[in-house]
Amino acid sequence: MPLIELAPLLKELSYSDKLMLLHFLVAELLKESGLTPLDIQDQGKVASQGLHDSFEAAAVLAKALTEEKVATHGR
Amino acid sequence: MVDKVKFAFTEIDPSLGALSTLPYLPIVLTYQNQSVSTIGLLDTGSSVNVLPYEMGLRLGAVWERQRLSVPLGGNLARFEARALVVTANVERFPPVELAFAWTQDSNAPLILGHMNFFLAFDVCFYRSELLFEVSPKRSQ
Repeated sequence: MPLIELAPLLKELSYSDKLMLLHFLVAELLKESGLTPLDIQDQGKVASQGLHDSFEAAAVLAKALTEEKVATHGR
Repeated sequence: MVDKVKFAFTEIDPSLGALSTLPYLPIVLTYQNQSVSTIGLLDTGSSVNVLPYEMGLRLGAVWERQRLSVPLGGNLARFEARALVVTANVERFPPVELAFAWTQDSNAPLILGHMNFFLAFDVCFYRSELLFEVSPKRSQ
């Protein structure tokens, strides 16, 4: 949908929804740029830079494997 | 039962010859009775296995049914990924279950990484000879 069609709908949003939309768009742009938000930097946490340090992803996949094993042996 | 098999590196760009060779492994992935024969890049620099979007669809997986979100880093961070467990067959080795980060990126290659390809298989690289050797992990 082109922005020119979207703009009238966005005008109708409530104040809080407009703030939420701003937050959403900023988060999406940060994600696409690969930049780390300042608040996360302050916490000493650094977002994963690449597949080489996607350790949180590895933990999720390990959980998926465990769930699959439980589901398979439970049948 | 064969305990180890050697494979040749794959030349990607004929104009560059051996400079462009990478370790691609022939592998058959199966998900709920749907199989796809393909090749995966052995990547010891990757924490996880990665499955490109279209390949998941070819396996018959339904995106909306996968509920575990997988946070990938780097270039793949822009795309959502979800966990998908499939059965993998390499040569005549016993089949193993591999968990993949199924990414919505259509351009990603099929990547075989530490979680959990390199937990299921031992690999020895002989890059100078353009060969690599694969065997199932010893406890299997």
